[in-house]
Amino acid sequence: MDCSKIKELLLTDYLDKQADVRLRIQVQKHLGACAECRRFEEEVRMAAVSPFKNAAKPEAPESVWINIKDNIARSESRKLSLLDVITGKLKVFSLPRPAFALASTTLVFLIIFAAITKHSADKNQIREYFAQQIDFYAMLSNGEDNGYQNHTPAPGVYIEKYLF
Amino acid sequence: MEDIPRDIIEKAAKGEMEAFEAIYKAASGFVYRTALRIVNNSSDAQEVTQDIFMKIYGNLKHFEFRSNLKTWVYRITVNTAINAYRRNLREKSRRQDFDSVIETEGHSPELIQAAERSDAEKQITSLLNMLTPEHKAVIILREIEGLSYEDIAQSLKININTVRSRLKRAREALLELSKKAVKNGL
Repeated sequence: MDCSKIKELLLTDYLDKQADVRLRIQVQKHLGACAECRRFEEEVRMAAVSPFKNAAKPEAPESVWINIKDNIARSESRKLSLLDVITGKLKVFSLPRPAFALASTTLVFLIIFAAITKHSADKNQIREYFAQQIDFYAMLSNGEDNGYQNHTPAPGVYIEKYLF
Repeated sequence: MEDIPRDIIEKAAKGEMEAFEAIYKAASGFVYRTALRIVNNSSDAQEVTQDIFMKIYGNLKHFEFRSNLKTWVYRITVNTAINAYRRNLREKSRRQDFDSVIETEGHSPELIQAAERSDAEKQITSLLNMLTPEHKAVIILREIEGLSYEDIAQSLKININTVRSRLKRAREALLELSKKAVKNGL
């Protein structure tokens, strides 16, 4: 193993005791014979390991947990009030069954009634229209004077004589 | 961070506050320390810690035990803290002029607090501040919290070789800083 590979291991697996036994022995043998790599190992330990050895381990202040509990309580109560609004809107579905059935039946009857009355109103209109048409053709065949005849030209040709 | 029993997680997911408090007690040290090291400010770290535990509380009912809760907490912590750090950095650059006025008028309580920290702590803070957020995260998880490569990989959802390469680059950067400090007689 050359120095560059050894230096890589010194910066990672060897330093962090993540290398297996076989690899560790290889590195140690190399360090025994190579002054430059021994110096490098020393420098790495001084610069990148030792400063963190005695790092303080502070705990979170008490106020953090109090704030978290308050935030949870607030979010839970918000959820509950939202639930109240939704259930309030849906209260109609919680009516007693007979009342709900009566309301639904009434609604269905109202819809059917509206449809029938609309249908008969249409029928009356059609009937009236046909009656007007029949009267009009009857007037034409009787030769009665009305607004339409004023626009008819005076009979002059055979076909006009035949028709009028 | 301690292991959290499954029944505690299930009770907390159902909204039992005592169970959630047990999770908080087991995880808050790790969460707060990691946040503090990344955002480098006590009040921001407290805010990040609250944010993380609200996320944990809100998402516990979706936790399916396919991975370890610890790993999940590590991941939420690192991601939330890095996001907060980046957001603060953007805000700081916007407020630079305001801050310079404040500094000329007197030292803030945070600066005084920082001055009172031990030399070792000051060294750790300044070293970590020289690293990118991703390199900072692997150094914190490995050197301060003592996580294995496997745990770091799972926590950050990255390949184990990416863990190696991030650690290697972070340490090379620290080595470079140390050489510069020696050269400048610091």
